[in-house]
Amino acid sequence: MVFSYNWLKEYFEEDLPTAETVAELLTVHSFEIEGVERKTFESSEIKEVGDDWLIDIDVLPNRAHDALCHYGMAREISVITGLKLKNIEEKIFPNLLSPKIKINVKEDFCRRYIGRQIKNVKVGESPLKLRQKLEAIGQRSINNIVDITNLVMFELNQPMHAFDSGKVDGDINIRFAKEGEEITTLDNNEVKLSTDIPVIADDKSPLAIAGAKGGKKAEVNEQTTNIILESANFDPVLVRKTSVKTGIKTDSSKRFENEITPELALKAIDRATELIFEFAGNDDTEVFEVVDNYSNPVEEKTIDVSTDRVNSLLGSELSTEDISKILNKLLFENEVSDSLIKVSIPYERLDLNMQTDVIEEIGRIYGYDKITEQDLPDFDFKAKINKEYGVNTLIRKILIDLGFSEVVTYSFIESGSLSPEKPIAEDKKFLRDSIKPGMQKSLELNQRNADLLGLDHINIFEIGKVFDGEPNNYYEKPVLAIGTINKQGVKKPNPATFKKQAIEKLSEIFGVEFKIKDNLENSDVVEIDLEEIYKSADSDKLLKNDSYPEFPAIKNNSYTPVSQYPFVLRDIAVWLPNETSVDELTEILREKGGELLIREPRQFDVYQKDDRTSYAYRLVFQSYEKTLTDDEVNKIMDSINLEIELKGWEIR
Amino acid sequence: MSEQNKKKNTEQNVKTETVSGSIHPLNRVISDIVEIFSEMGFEVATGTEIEDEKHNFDDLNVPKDHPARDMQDTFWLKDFPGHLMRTHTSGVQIHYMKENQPPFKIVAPGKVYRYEATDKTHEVQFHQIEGLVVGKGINLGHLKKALNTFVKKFYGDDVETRLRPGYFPFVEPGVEVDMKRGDGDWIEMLGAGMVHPNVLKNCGLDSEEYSGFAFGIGLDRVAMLKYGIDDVRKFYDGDLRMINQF
Repeated sequence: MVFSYNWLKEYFEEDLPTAETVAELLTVHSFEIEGVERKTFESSEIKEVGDDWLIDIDVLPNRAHDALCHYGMAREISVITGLKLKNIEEKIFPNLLSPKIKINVKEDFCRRYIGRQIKNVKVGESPLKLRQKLEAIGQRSINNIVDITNLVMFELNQPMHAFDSGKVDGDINIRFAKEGEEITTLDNNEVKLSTDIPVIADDKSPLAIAGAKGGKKAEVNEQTTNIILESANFDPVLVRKTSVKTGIKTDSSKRFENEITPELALKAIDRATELIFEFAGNDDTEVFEVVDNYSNPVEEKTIDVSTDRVNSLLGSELSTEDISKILNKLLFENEVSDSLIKVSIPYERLDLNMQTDVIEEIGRIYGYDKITEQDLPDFDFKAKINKEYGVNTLIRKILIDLGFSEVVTYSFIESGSLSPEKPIAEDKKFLRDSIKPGMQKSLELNQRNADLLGLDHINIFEIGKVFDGEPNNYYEKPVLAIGTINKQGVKKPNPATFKKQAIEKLSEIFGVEFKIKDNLENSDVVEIDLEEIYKSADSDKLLKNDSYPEFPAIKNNSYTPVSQYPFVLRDIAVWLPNETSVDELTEILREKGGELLIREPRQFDVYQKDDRTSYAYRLVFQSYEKTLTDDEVNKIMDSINLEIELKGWEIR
Repeated sequence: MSEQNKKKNTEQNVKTETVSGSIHPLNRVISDIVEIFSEMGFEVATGTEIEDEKHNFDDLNVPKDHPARDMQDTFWLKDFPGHLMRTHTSGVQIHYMKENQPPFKIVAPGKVYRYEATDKTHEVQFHQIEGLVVGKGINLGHLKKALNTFVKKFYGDDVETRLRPGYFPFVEPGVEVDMKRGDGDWIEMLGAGMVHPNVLKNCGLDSEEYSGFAFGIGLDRVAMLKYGIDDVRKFYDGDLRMINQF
């Protein structure tokens, strides 16, 4: 969530450290920061108020109960900076009128429902002060009433709603939707409701989808004079299911599905009332008592924390007193008796339910940098060799020594039997029942690039899982796939030779036959069931000293990007006197080939006649910046030819 | 002339042809990491890629209908309720804990899946290595030392690390481990933490008697950082122009 630094500042008497420093402290003690950026306002009126800083803070589900709002985040900042947090004053409203509305909570999913009538409000544009806050965090201003309900949500974490009470027919009912009911939401979507969707309804029809979205029927607009404010609490799982089912995800549903304490509701409705009085009220404005349906108030939670347990989990050496001090910093009331501390958990901290939860709080505020590193104790544990991993590693090593390269292709392909419920793409609709299609694509790609790769034979393999069968009767099988193909035009040796060689070598080293079902001569790719090999291979013998095979040293430590532009080929054959070293020729090819010569000139033919030898080389040119034209490459070839002629050698 | 052409030219032209094959960079990274942890006495564990909800989520303290599940977008299998492509290798620790008595130290490398739009840093499949140590008296200081040892062996002694709070439902305290070289920025390396008491309980272990730590390393990211590969999708297109460089 994006937080406004100026907004956070309002909760402190003292000056806050800079936005960057606050972000840094939060990173080390509390949350991951997605970014900190300066906000300059577009509208000229707001511009005058000055710049703000936006801090994008990744509040995850464990802290969404309390910190997905500005006041909650200010509380966290107070904990980690030690700066005192201002209390949001509880406003006392004089002369509250007796409520005239009736609220019927008919289902358990509604844990609390507070309604309040306010009469004679003036609906209009929000004042600058409110609009600025909303704009800072990327929210659109609607009108003063709606803006205030939103502001309270982003301040206290309590979603709120306002209904135009003139448009409400009868009572407010919290119930499930009835068969065939529909609602037009505030953003003008027609939603068909089913009987598992929770709604707020009047006596005639739904006014809102509970926890998720308000409806058009009782919308607050410029004509509205009387409103009913709602501050409620709904079951998180039901809100989540509703949100999935209707596809409606809002800032409100997000908060409910993460769960917030029902204790917030009253504080929020009073806060909203105060703001409405200030920004939408006048001398005639009348505020009513709340109607509060709260049949099962939550109880205060306490958790016992033992000093020993804290230290044994954190590896720290904190005293009971140290721990109590950290808890005070956290604003958790606590009572010490011997080495046990009774910690009162603030209502909003729904994430704290057991001792370990509190120990984590102690750890992060104490500071993980203060934890001393410790060597692992000497365990009575002897690592066994993992056969699957060992066999796979040995196969890799053997094949690489034979000149094969390893590929890893997608587990999702175009056809198969098992499939994901929601495929990610048309060509990835199924789980692969074979590695062959992936390998085939790889062979063809590499065959096209054979000259660039400097290869006459593309020899590759993959070790991976394949999936087949029916749900409830499926299998997942480890497979080795070996694929070979020649560069276009290269006839010998037949690609099958390499596969045969590989399989023979594997069978020989493992002492187990690597069985293939495919026809070796006619298939580019063959597969071997590795389950058989895991079963029958003697890993004690194969994996010496109980260790896994090591691969040959890496060829490069950093990747040279591949050019996106096509490469261009040129062949050249030159007669050299027998006594002349061919290095002289390759030197010229390299030097004159220049930077566009993308790889080492590759010799493909040698032919001796009398006192001369003919050497033929293939040159590969490619640019990282553009498609090379014939002209450009011809120029390079001209300069090579010229140099060769100057040497007195004959070009064939 | 572009810098890349210059680099390519000077690097490649001094080399002679090799016929030796290449290991896929991800499997080289796995092998290097396994070797480091093997030296520290860890055992390799493996698991299946199709997993059930219980082992991938429930037993790992990620309940059904909980927003924490949204942190891992999942490929659920069609007509196969409760079954999915594993979203992490953490399920392997559940199976291992249920089948073995502590103490133990394991690492579990493997392919995992997430339902998300692909771009340079996101793929529908990627690789992880999971680590787990359970025994008596295991604490956060042990985690810190073990992971620091790993990071220094893998990236070099000049690398600094730090722990900061992180949230993964299966560990508590949960931490993220960042690393930094010299004056560079902190880079997120891996997620870790002390095994959550609920996870121990779900595997039949008494959390009063045993404690442990777990960690998970995203290998694609590690390989990208280590070798300077700019696009995660390059690992999976079977292109030897990349693979044969290593």
